[in-house]
Order: sequence, then C-alpha cells, then structure tokens
Amino acid sequence: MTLLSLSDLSVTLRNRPVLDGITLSVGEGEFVGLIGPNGAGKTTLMRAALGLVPFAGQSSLAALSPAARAKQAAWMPQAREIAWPVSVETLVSLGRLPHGGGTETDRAAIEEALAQMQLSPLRARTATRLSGGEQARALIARALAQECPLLLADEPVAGLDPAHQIATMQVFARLAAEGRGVVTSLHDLGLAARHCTRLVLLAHGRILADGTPAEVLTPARMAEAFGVSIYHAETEDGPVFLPMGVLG
Amino acid sequence: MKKAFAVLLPLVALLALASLVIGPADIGPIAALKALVAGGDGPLPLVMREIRLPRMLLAILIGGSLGLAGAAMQGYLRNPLAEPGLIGISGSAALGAVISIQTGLSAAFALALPLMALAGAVGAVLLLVLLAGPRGGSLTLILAGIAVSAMASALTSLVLNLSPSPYAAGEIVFWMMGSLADRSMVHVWLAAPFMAAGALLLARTGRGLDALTLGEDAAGAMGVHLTRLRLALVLGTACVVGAGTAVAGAIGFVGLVVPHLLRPVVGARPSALLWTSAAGGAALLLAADIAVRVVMPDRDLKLGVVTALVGAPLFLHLIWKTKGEQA
Repeated sequence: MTLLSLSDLSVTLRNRPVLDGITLSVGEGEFVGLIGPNGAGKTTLMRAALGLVPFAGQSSLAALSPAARAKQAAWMPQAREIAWPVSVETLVSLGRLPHGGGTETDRAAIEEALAQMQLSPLRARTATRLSGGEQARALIARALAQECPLLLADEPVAGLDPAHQIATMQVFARLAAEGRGVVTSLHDLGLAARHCTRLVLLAHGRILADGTPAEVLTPARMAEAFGVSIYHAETEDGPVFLPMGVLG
Repeated sequence: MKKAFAVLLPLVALLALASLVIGPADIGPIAALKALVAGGDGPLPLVMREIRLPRMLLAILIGGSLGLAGAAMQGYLRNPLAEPGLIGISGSAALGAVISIQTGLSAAFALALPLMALAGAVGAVLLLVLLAGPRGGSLTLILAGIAVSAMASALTSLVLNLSPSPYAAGEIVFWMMGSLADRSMVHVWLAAPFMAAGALLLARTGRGLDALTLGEDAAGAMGVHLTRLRLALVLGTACVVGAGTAVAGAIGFVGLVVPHLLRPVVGARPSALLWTSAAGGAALLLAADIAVRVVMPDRDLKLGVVTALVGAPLFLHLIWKTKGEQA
C-alpha cells in the first residue's frame, strides 16, 4: 500500500523556485534516505508533503484533515525545539496528543519509544538540560511514540554519537521491516547506503536519482550532485561508501 | 498538578474567607459571615453583600483570569517573559476608561467607565486580528501587540496632557493604579460573562500549547490548527483582561509572575499550568487586596501598586535563581 504519494509537486518561496515537479511515492516497508547538497530542497520536500508550506501539485498527506494527517504521519523537524523544561517522559508523551493520550495504549507506546531510543535511564531528567544528542534522541522518541504508518524525520542522526547513529538507523530499518514507511534526510552517505532500502537524490529542486543505494551512489552522480569523489567497497559486513575528495 | 491544586484551592478558600471578614467596618468575623449568609435588615448585611462580597469575588475573578491568560500567553509565545498586557489589550481598555473620566461621562453615568474600557479592548482586538491576521506567526502577534500598546499609551498620555484640571488628571492617574475598593455586584455581573467566555476559550488551548513545546512546525504536523489557536488566545485574553481592566484598572505582574512561579510545580507542561496558574493568580490577588486593607487602611493604597511591589522583587529573585543554575 502507498503511504505517501506526491505528484508534480512544486514549491516557490519568495519568488524562488525551491522544488520543481517532484513525483514520488513511498510504500509500506520502505526506508527512504533523502540525500542531496545543502539547499537542494530536502526539508522543503518533506514540509510540503505534510502541507506545512504552500505548494502546487498533489500530496496525499496534505490532502488529509490535520487530525487524520497527525495519525498517518509523524514529523520530526530539523530545528530541535524544546520550549519548556519538561521531563523526557513528558516530552515523549507529547507524541500521543493526536491520539488523545492517557490510555493504556498511550502508556505502552511511550514506554516502547523510550526503550527504543535507550532513554529509560534519562526519563525523569529535564529535557532542556540534556546534551544536544540526547535531546535529539528524546525528540526522535517523541515522533516514534506517535506510532504512525509513516515517519518523516529531518536529519535525525545529525549530532548523535556513532553508536546512537547506528542504533537510530536500525530502529528506523526495523520500523520499515514491520511494514511501516520511513523517510529521513541525512548527509552521511555511508549510513544511508548501509541502512536505507532506497535512496532519493535531490539536487536543485529536482529528483536526480531514485533507487537502491548501489544504483544511486554512483561516482558520476556523486560528482554531479555533491562535487565529490567516492570510495566504494563491498565488505563482509555490507557496503562501504565514503566521500574522498572535492572535485575541481 | 493535583498536588498543586491540593495546596492552592484551600489557600484560595482561606484567603477568600479572610477577605470577607477584614475591612474598615468594625464587624466580628462570625457576625459578618452570619449577616452575609442570612441577610436581613440593617447596615451589616448591606456591607457584607454589597461591598465585601463583590470585592472578594472580583479578586478571585480578576486574579484567576490574569493567571490563566498569563499562562496561555507564555505557552503560546514559548517565552516566560510574556504577559497578558503584552498584546495591548489592557492599555487600550485603560485608554477607553481614561477617555470616559476625561469627558465626564463616568461622572454622569456610573457604568460608562467599564463600558468605555470594554469598547477600548474590542478596538484593540480588531486591530490585532487585522495586523496579525490568519497568516501571521507568533512574532507578528508580539509586534502588533507592541504597536497597539504604544499607541494606547501615547493616546492615554495625550488625554492626561490635555486634561483641563489637575483633579481630572489625578483621578485618571489613581484609576490607572488599579483597585478593587468600592466596587459593587453590578461590576461583578458586568465582568463575569466576559471572563467566563474568555476562560472557556483559553482553557481549550491546552492541547495546542502542549504541542507547541516542540515548535510551530511539529505542532502543525500533530494536527494543531495554529491560526485557530492564535485566534482563541487573542480573543480569550481580550475577554478576560479587557473585563478585568474595565472594572478594576490595570493590575500588573500577576499574569507574569504567577505562571513563572508555578511552572516548576506542574513539571512545566503548558496545559497543566493553565488552571494551576488561575488558582495561583486568584490567591495572589486576594492576598494583595487584603494587604491593601491591612497595611495602610487609611491611605487608600492601590492594588496595582501592591502587586507590582510584591511581584517585582519576587521576579528578581527568580531571575537570580535561574542565573545561578545556568552558571
């Protein structure tokens, strides 16, 4: 089943075209990595899909009512805002707002999210006093607690230590394996190659490539989109992709 | 949240009782309460029912709404320094009242003052909604509020400036300091419907305010209708603060200090803070209004002066404490 379908989606912000004719669909079981240089339109693509910025074209999510959309897709913005000194547990429980909150199901979802992001020892701590990486994990847990068929996350692993980066990617991969869909933007091509089932390469507001990591992460495309050379090897533990140098 | 109520509600009840039995008329507490409940002839029931009861009720209503509106405003703007007066409603209500004093309308017709104040508040709301319309964010609301505030305060100064006699100017200045003395049940009935409507609007913002803890983007994606939330906040605040200013003048610091003080008690969750802060505001204003009568009974100390005198040092203390934590 399709969880998100965008057709001919274009966004113009302050007379500057940001996205141009994006057609994309994400189905159950897919873990889509959204990659592309700074300013390629990754954030705008996800925000437009959610109906948070005005756009032309169609988005299946934006067509839903706000209440229905909040049960269909969870969104973790790039700006890691925590306005008040609430406890980590309270912060994660905010993810249950679209469902009402307070029931057994809600409690179970919060516990599950805390455990998945390894936050149980920090649950009583004040969220605003945690380190940046810990705050990011708490906010990911908040989005997980929303328990939606689709999860959209904007650079969720930026600022996390290597162990938590890998653990977070594994949590997302597991969600996809359970039949949900995950779309996440990220800059770590190595992580993207190892964990995502599919990569979408965005540049200048258009989709440059869309396919398996091996299909997308070719030297030619990396040169075109990022202007870097890339090292690729297949190891016993899976593929290794590493940007090596900036091309002339 | 329940723990906070367990302390605050008995405190409000106790202070309300104290407010009823303390006053310039020398009446024993038992006799006072008996006269209030049983009624009858003579001056005693009249004093209780027409002077002390409305004073106590107004302290609860106004203190409660200032606390509630302050908590909602801070929650929406995600700023602990926000207060209900920020969006210019109280300033505009004061302008309406000042004009009614200046033109002599209030002397000719007793209810002219609160009605003109309400008209001032309505004018400010219309201007705010126009300026920070459906597409504006929280920053537009603050800027529009500051503009409306500045305009109202400039016009109030102009009225004072053009005041024909020092007596009129003096009356205006004293009115602006805020007081609950010599109010009647008519004032209660005038303010209560607006406050009930406003409180209803503000109470419904709880879920949206909770979601806003994560920022406007995340809240929007969680199904919160931000335009509707902002409108409920502006209208709700206008109702409660406009009505409060209309019957009691400008009373500062309650809406700023009370939510700030009670935030740690409820675990900082904006929705839990709403009613807790309302109870806290009622308690603070009752206490301040008792202080006005006890400290200098013959000097007509103004309520707004006391709340600022108590509020400002309390606020300084809080800032001092936060500074210590951050260092």
